[in-house]
Amino acid sequence: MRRLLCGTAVLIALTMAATAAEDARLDNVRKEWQNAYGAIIYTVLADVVNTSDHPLQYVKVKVTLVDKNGVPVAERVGYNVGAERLGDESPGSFADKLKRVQPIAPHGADLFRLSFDKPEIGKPFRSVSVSVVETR
Amino acid sequence: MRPRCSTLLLVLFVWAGAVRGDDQRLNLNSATAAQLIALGLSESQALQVVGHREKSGPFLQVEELMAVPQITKDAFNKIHEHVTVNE
Repeated sequence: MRRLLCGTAVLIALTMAATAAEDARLDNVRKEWQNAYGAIIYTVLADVVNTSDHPLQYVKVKVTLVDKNGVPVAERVGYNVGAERLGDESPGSFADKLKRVQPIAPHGADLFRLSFDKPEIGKPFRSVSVSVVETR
Repeated sequence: MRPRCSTLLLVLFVWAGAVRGDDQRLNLNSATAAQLIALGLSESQALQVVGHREKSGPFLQVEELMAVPQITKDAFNKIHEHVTVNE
């Protein structure tokens, strides 16, 4: 029974990821080290494109920094700029925040940006994986 | 038999060259200012790199050099193939 439940959960997760990837894609992914008044940060930027025929309230993106052995060193998720409030820690429920996001028009685009503080990364990494994990 | 030996020697030569080339890269996390100057950085740039390491901890990527004040794109392009970090 447990195996069946696990299998179903994996299947649902895979289906959601596949659907998300169908509705949005990431173009022009840029990565750069920055010095913000002495604070060293690693920033990932990308253009989020709504490839569907309907507006998207948000696109959730996962960024994983991977070391030379393929082991994740740091991992975070974030939202397109118009929906960044969904990921912040300000008061209010997710549903309330969702009412105030700026949807991405069909075939429109928005920016995605996510920064890691250097101490948050901690270890050397070789590559970066950036992928759409959820859309709505 | 002789062509096989030649091929083997050629492979060994290329392999040895690749290994030697990797070993010769300067580790940004232990490099001295003098070594960085020898690679082509100016004295102030080299001191900035060492200072960055002392203040912000070991470099996590060679590309982190771009967060060091005074390290321009040109300076980065000049040395990035000759340096490495601890991985």
